[in-house]
Amino acid sequence: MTREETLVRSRAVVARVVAGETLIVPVRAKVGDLASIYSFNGTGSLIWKLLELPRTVAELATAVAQAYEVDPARAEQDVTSFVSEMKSVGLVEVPAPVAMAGD
Amino acid sequence: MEQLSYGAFSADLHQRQAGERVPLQVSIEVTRRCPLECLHCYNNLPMGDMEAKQRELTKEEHFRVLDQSVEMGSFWLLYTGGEIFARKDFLEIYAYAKKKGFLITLFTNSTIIMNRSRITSRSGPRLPSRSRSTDARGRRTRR
Repeated sequence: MTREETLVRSRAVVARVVAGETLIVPVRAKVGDLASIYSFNGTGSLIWKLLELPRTVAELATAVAQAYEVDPARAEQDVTSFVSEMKSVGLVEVPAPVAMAGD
Repeated sequence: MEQLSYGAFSADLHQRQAGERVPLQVSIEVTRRCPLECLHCYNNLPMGDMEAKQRELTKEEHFRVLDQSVEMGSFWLLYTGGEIFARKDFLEIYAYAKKKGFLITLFTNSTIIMNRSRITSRSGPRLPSRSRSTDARGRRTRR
């Protein structure tokens, strides 16, 4: 996964905040393990919130580095690993291309 | 990713919400009508009972209940009756609840809907739990 790769939340899952925790529940047959519920900690919840709109891995890493005041290179490494896992189980996807006027 | 068993996840969530007066679990009786009309059951009104039917919440009212339950932090949802499939619009209510991310359990006697795949194909990929009750063996226990 490159730092310029753009991702967005999958439409096959829905997020619920229960007991102060962000839970991701599969609602369609596109998620790797439909029997699983995914729970995020604070950092994961921040990334999930940002992914409401398409974001590059670099943008996510910058946001995490700023929010938690950590080394940007370390943040990028950790964010890349996290979103790769999210992508592998189908929680995020590559956004569909938007048709432009004249296309 | 760290993996947790369903039991541990559920216990942890309940423990953290203990005393918080959050309705983590919601049970909804969608109808009091049922085709079996078992004598011992308190929700045994005939399928054609129009008065009972008119007292039921509308589909839209059910949607609002689900919206409010999400806002309050509910996560587990049980649909029971009567017989849930006595309502022809039950699958629409179920599909709406599913899109909201509830973990849903259905109580049914399976007399109206016998094929589990009909639920999954219409409304999504997964039905976490369905309980099928066998409350009556013969006509003596029914009206």
